[in-house]
Amino acid sequence: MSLDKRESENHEKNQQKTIYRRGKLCRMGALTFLNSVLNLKAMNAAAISNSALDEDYKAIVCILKAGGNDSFNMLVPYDQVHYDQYAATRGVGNAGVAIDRNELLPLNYNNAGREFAINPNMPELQGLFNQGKASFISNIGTLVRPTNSTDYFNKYKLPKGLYSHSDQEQEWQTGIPDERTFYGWGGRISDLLMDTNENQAISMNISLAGQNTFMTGNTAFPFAINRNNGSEGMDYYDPDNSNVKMRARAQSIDNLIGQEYQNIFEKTYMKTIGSARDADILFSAALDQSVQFDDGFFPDSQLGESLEMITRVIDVQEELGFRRQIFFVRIGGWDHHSELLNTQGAMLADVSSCLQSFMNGLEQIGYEDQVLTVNLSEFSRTLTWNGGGTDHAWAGNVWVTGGPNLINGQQVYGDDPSLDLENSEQNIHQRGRLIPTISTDEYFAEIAKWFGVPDSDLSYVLPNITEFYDPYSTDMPIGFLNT
Amino acid sequence: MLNGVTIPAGQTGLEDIEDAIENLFLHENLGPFISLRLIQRLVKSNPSPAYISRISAVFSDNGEGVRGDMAAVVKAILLDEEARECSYQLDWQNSKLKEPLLRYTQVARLLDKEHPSDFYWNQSDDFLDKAGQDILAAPSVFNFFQFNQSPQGAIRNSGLVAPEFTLHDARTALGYVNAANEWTRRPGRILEIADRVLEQDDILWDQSELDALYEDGESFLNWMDLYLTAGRMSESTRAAIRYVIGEVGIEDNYYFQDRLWHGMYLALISAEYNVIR
Repeated sequence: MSLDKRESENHEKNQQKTIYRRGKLCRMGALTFLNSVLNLKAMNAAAISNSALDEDYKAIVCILKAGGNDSFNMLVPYDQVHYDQYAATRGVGNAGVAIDRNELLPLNYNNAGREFAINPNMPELQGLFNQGKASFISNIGTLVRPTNSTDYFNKYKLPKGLYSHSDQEQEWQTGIPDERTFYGWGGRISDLLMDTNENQAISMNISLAGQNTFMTGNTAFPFAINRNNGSEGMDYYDPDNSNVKMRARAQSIDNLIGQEYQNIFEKTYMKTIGSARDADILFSAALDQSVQFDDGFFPDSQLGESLEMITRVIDVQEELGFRRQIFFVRIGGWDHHSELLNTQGAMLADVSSCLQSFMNGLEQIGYEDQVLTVNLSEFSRTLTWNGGGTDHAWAGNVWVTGGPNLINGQQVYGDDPSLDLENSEQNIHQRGRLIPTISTDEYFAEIAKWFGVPDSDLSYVLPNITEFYDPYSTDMPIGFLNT
Repeated sequence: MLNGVTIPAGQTGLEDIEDAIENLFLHENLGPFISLRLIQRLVKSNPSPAYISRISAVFSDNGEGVRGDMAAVVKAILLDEEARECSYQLDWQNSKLKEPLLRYTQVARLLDKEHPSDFYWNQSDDFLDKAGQDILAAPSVFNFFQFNQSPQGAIRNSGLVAPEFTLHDARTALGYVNAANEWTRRPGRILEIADRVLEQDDILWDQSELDALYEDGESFLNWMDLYLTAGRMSESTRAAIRYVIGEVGIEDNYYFQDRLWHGMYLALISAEYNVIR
């Protein structure tokens, strides 16, 4: 089906849906409305497929470390030769930001003598790696096409706004580094796959970070929830209330939401309120059925609470009627121009313990091999320090986690860059900035293919993908997913 | 540096920094850039190129040869025909969404407050978190609004931007709506924290101005239209509020409370209160 056709069909469907919902809501109470939608869902479920929903379910959990994580202090060369290069470049003791080799947590990995360790604050991630539930991708970043230092100095087809937070954070979300756009690769994946969900009343893109580019497609958009309470509902909206004043209030709210607005800002403002109110009725009813975790199961942090909420939503995916979902969390504060070691250490510790708790939670509800957790960050940081911290650079390292049947764990993918600045082909700056050797396109393409994007539509999700990868190839672009 | 400028050798560090800032200050793109951003915050999301150009000219020269006179720039923005003429108000795409903080401050300043100890303190933390605008704690150094935010539907289809819609999603839109309910259900709740901290009485709105209006629903509506929606309340919004006010009959002992609660709540969530034209 062509995209245009798909869009216009979606549009028609949405219009019908809106009419249906608006008409029903005016006459029926919230609960009546909910029941009728749930019945409809059950009918659709029977008609669409006989296969068990939960076996087909897949979710992407995308965690953005905003600000530029210094990921060369997260994943560190460990064999003596490469550690020595790392230490010489980053500076040891009071003269830099290198972590002492004795403090590093070695990974159970050896590729022809190359070894790695991770930051001393991440023992849980070390454990996940060694159990085959985590892998790393090394020296990854935004690229328009494969790029070497000659291209760089000739400014030949480079990403827009290198080293700029706003541009690079956007490009990791858009997957289109040669344009400034507000459409994200998660949103475009959803454009293609949203029809596979029985639930069309709630977006398959659940955001713990409000509006965002990543989840915004041509038709897809994020459904924003709160990490503590789930979806926000409309207080004191009760069309069935026995009090005539409360019924009149509900009727007037319906009238405000339902009226035609000429001004498109007014129209958009009110439409969001109406659809949020309706979605909450379904979402909250489902979330009430979800697994509950004891205090302390998840860390008491923004990320911990977000992952706890995500686990609960995944647990009720069948009640909600989703086969495909994407989740987004944004954690800020990674821009460590000063005080890198201590500040970043505490933040990595939180990430590590949260990832462990999330894996424990997914294993408890039996979804660890269907939920892929991936890490984005707009860039890594200069390899040398500025006297306190490090500054904006380009390529960095990311982790992925998932169950042992989902990912090819215990691997470090990518060309390990030399951190010996004088002799590194990747280095383009005296402070140590590396050109990526794996593009974000390849990373995102692998995720998209696993998620169910057809080969023929991969260029819709990632317009530059053919610069790096043949969409029809039977091999995955990087190989971290076990397909 | 930009435009091929070289900073002289041998200066102090501070002189180098000042020269670098001066170089940026003199760059020809600065005027249009800051003019667009300020117009978007103060007047409208999609100013015409001519409007930006007029303001940019004032930035370059305030009429007395001074570049960067921000008072003159802001004055020019607010007095420009595109900010003042009625024809622009009727233009269906000529608007901006009011940011949550301004929705809050407008309500907070709506009426005088009364408190036995004259102790006044904003209770806004909860609201600003729910509405996504935690002041002085923006999620990035680029503040709250994505400059190219273009929400799905009519705005995006028209090729327009609406930065403030960055803070208008399923969570924050209803976060605001529910805050408006609390403000009106217990008038003065926005200024309540003194009660919790000092165990003193609630700060309440001084409603003496409204007491005379509650009995006549139309007068109350006119008052809200004047102070909340700048005289732009549409007939259909007015009808929706009139309906609920009518259902709260004046034979009801609590009619003044309930007319305030339901009536002003509807006005505060109305499109006309939340969209600036």
